[in-house]
Amino acid sequence: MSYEVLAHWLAEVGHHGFDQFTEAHTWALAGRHVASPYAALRELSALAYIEVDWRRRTWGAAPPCLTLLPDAGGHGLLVGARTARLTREVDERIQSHDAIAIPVAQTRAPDSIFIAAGSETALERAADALEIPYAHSVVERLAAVLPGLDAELVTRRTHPVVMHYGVDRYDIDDGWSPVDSDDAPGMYKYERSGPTAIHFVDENDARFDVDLAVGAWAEARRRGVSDLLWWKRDFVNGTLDVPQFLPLPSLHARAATLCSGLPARFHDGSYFYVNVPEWLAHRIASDLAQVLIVK
Amino acid sequence: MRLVSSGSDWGPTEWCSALAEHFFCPESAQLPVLFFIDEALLAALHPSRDAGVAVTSLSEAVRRGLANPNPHGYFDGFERRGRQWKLAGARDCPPFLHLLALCVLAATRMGTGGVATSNYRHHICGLLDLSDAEMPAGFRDSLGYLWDTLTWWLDCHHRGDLGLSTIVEGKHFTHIGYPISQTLFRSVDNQRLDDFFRWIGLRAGEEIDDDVLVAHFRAWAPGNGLSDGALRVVGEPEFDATIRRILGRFSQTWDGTSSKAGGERRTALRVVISAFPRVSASAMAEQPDGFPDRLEGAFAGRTVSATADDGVYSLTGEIEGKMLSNGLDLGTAAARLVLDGSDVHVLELDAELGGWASVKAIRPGARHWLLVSPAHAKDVLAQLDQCAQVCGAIGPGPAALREWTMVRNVVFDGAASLSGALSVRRPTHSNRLALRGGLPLGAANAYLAGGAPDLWLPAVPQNETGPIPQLDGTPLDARSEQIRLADVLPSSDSSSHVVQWAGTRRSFTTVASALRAPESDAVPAHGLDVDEHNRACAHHPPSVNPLGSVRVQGAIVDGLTVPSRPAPVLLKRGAQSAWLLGAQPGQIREITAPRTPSWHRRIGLADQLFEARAEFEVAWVVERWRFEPQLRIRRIVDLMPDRERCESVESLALWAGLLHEATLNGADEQVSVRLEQYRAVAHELSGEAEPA
Repeated sequence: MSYEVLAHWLAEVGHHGFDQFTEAHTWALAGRHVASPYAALRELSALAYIEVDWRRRTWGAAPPCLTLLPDAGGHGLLVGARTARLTREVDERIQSHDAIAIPVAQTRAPDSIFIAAGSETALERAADALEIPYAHSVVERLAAVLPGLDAELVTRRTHPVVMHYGVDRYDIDDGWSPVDSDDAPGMYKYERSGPTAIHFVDENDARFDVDLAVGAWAEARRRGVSDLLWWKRDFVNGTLDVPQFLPLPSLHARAATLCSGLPARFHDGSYFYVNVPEWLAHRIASDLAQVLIVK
Repeated sequence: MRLVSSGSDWGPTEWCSALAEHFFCPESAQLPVLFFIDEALLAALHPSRDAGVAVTSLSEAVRRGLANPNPHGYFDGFERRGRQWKLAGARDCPPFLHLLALCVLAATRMGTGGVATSNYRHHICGLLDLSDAEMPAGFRDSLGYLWDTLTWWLDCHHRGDLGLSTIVEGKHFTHIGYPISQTLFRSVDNQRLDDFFRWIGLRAGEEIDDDVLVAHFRAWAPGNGLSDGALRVVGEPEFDATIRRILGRFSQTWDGTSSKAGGERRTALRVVISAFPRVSASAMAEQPDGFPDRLEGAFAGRTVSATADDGVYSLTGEIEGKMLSNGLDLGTAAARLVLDGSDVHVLELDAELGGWASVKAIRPGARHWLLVSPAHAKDVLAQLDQCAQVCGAIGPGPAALREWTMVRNVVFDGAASLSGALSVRRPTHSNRLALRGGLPLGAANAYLAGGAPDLWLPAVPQNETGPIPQLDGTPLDARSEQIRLADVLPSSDSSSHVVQWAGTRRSFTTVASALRAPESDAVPAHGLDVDEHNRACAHHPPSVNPLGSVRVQGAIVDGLTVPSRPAPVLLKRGAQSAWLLGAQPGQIREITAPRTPSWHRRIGLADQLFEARAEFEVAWVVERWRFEPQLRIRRIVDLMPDRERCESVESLALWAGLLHEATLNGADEQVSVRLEQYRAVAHELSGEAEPA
C-alpha cells in the first residue's frame, strides 16, 4: 500500500476526524516505517491535499485545481485532493489538449502529478477538460497572504491546562524531552486523555495554544536565534533548507511545497524544499523572524 | 436446606428429590445446568457419604423400576410414569431422575474396567445387573423420551427458572449420546470460563452473539486446561447448541470480575505510571462493586495491602521490580486483586486511573509506554527498533523501578512476530475476530476498492494452530493474527465478500471510486485578516467557518486580489537564441536558457522548455534555429502595435529587424494580419534605424 491509496480514500471520504485518519494511515502504510499520522497530516496539508483543523481534530479534502509551477519548464501541477476516479481519468482527458500527465511516485506523500503542456493556454484547456479550476501560480497567491509570527499568535491566546499525564518541553535543537515544570518561558506539550496540547509561553508569561510549527518558530524568536533558514540557488530558483525541529507553519510550508509539487525531502537533520524562488525564501524568513542565509 | 429423608436406604423418591434439589434450583435460574453424576457426587448426596453405598443404593432404586423386557423394554415403567407425571402438570421433580443419573454415571465410567473406551454397554448393564451381551431392550426409545422430557421440564415448563438444559443427543453414539452430553463439560471446565471471558476482554453487560463466543472459545480452548471432554464439546459440531448455551448464558452473568461459572471474583491490579508532578509508579485498580476498601496479601515475606479511595485501589508503599516480574495477589477468592507478573508491561493512557496503566497486550495504532525488566531490555529494544512504527524516549523507570527500562510512546501499526518476553504482548484486538483497518466508506461494512479491511484473529498460543479462516469459501493463509485481505483481493475489486471462521462469519463490500472531485462540505479553511496594505495581520487556524476576510482552502485563495506578475513565456531549449518582443517599438529582451535545475532531472521531468519573463507584456517571441527558416516568430499575446518607441537606437533596430526577417509558420490569418501591422510599424522605423 502507499500514500496514493490513502490519498484516494481521503478524497473519496471528503472529511473526517483524526482517529479515522490515524487508522487509515496506520493501515495503508503498515510496515513501511513512515512518518507518524500527525506528520502525514502536516505533509498532506503542505501539499494542499487536505486542510486540517487541529483544534477540532478534523480534516477535509481540499478542492483540486491545476496550476503552473514557477520556473519549472512550463509544467503544471495537479493540486488538491484526487479521487481514484479523477486520477484514473487525468491522462485520458487531457491528451487531446496537447498535454500529458507525468505521475511521480513519492515515498512520504501521494504521487505528484505534473502536467506537461506546450503553453499556459494548453494548461488552462487541460483544467477545463478535467472540470477543475485553473489557478495561475498558486504560489504567488499564497505568498501574498502569508502571516507573520505575530499574526499567527494573535488569535491563539489561551489559559494554562492541567498537567495530569506529563509535560514535555521543546528544544529547537533536540525536540521534546520530559520536564517537571512549565514555569519557565518556552514551548510545552501536555499529555491529556484526549489530544495533547501544545502551548507557547512567552517572556511575559502570556500563553498561546499553538501547533508545533508556530510554537517552534516563536520559541526560536524568543531565544533570539535568527539564522535558521538557508537558501541555495539551483540555476533558476533554489532550495530552502529548514531545520528538522522547526517545521514551517502550514501556509508557509504549502507555499514552499507548491513551488515544486514535491514534499520536502528530509536529509541530515533538515527538510529541503526545492525550486523555491529567492523572493519567496526571503518572505518566509521575514515572516518567521529570520534572516535568510543565502548560500 | 435439605428436604430429603436422611435414611440410609434411599428409594426412587429420595434420589429424585436429592438430585433435583442439587441440580435444578432457583440459584441456577437461566443458567445452563450440566447433570453430571459421578461417585463423588453421589456420595456427597447420599446420607452414608460413602461412594460404594451410594452407587449401590442408586442402582437398586433404579432396578426396582425395571419392567419385563417384552413387549416394550425394560424402561417402559419409567416412561409411563414420566408421561403420567407430565400430564398431571409436572408438579414436583421428574420421577425418573435417578434413572438418568445412573445412565450418566455409566458414561463417566467409560474407559475403565478393562473394556474399550467407547464401551458404554458394559457399564450400564453392570449397574442395572443385566447381561452386557446387548443393550437393554427399550433403552434408546425410552431414554430418549425421558431426556427430552427433562429438557421440556427445565426449558419450557419452568422457563429456565430452575436452570437450562444442556442435554444433546450426541449423534456419534447411537444409544448414549444423551448421557454423554452431560459428562463432557465438567464443573472444572466451567470454572475456566472466567479466564476465557477475561481473555476476550468481555465487559460487564456486553452482548456478544452466542456463535461468536463459541468461535472464540474454540480458538482459546487448546492449551488452557480444559478437560478432554470439554475439548470434545468444543470440537464436535453436534455439541454446538450445548456450548452456545453454556457460553451465552454464563457470559451474561459476567460482572467484570467473575461469572456464575467461576469460583472467585477477581480484578486486575495494574501498573500505573503518573507523569506529574514527577514521574512515579504505583499499582492501582478500579474498585468493583462489593469489594472491600482494603485488601491484603503476602509478598516476599511481608504483608502488602491496597486501599480504595473514591473507587480506586492504590498499593500502599512503593511498587518494586520483583512485583512487576513475579506478580502480586491480594485478597481472597471473594475479592481478589491480581497483578500478573511479566518482564514486559504494556501501558496505555487511562483517564480513570490518571496515568499510563498496564494493559494485557499492545493495541495496533495506539500509543503505549513499556516497562521492561533489566534482563530483557536489550532484546525488547532491538525488537522495537525493528517492528514499532514509532518509538519515543527511552530511559530508566521511576523510583524503585530504576533498574527497569521505560520506553515512551511506542506505536505498532499491525501484528508483529514478537518473540521472547514481548511475545505475549503482541498486538491484538482483545483477541476478538474483527475486520479492522482498510479504507472504510460511509456505508456500513463498505470499503474503497483496494482498501479491504484486515481480518484480525484471536491470538492463539505460539506453536498452536487455530481454526482456519476462509474468504468467500477459500481458505486463507493464517500465519499471523492479522491477515491483509487487500493483498488477497484485486485492487479494482468491487463486490461483496464473506469471511468465515470457526463457525462465525463477517461480511463486507468493496466499492469502486464514484466521485470525480471530493465533496466540499465540512472542509476547513484558513481565515486571515488583512490590513490596509493587504498584509495578513491575523491568522485564524483552519476551521469549517473561519473568521477573516480572506480564506485559503488548499491551493485556492479567496477574498484578496493579488496583483499577479505577467505570465511567463515558454521557450524551447533547442533554439540557439531567443528574443521577447513587446508591442512598443524597441521593447525587446534577449533570453539565454538557464541550466536545468537538479530537482528537475532528479524526478525525470522533461526539460525541452524553459520559462522567460520580460519587464513588459510580451507580444511576440522570435527564436533562432540552426535550420531554415532560422528565425521563427510566434505570437504570445494579441496586442496592437504601439506608436510610442523606446529611445535606444539599438533596441529599435533589433526589434524592427527581427519582425522583418522572422518567418511565421502555420499561424491563422488573424495572426498574419497582426504581424503585417507590426512590420508596417517596423518599416516606418527602417528609415531611422538600420535593421539588424
